[in-house]
Amino acid sequence: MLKAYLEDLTAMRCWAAHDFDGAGIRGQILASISTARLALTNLTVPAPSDSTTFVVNVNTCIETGISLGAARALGLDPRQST
Amino acid sequence: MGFAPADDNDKHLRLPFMYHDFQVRWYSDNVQVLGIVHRLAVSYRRSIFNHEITMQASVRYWTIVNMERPALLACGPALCSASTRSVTHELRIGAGRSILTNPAYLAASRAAVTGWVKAPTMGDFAFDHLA
Repeated sequence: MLKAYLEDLTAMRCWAAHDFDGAGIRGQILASISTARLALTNLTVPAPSDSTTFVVNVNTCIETGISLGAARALGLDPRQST
Repeated sequence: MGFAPADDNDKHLRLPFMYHDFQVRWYSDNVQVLGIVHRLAVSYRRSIFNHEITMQASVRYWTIVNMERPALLACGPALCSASTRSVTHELRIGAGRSILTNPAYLAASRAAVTGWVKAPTMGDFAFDHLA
């Protein structure tokens, strides 16, 4: 739903994680993030043992670092654990 | 939302040091996620960059406002309804000198744009003479 909302609001193509497929997926992600106009990343992921708690997602932290290095607009959205 | 220290009553996750800045936004449910995404993406919303459309809209708005405001100050909203409109009223607001063939439409639409009377409806326009 967020992807459709973003595409409708900004009229820009939105790429989510499941849109990347095939060989060289890491290269695709690198190229996409470094050339993106807006990058929204969720820094957390539900814990494997308990779905009510959240832990830091290392992969998205790396992707956020790529965005920081490319000086792209960022929205870092960590979930607040309760 | 907004950044909070990582050791604030164990409420927030311990994020990497380099992410401890204003760009980190916290949320607790999906509704807040939608709000965050909206706030971030709304500055990137699509816009129409058409100089002609912008200029036409601006000129039309200011022309209507400057033409009609003095006249409508003397006209109460009750006097601008279709049932009580008179020839004197049409002349006062200048609708009779318009090139439009239907002065009722011009008067009602101008008055609605200026905000002094209610928005016109189809019942406010006299289309009988066009039939």
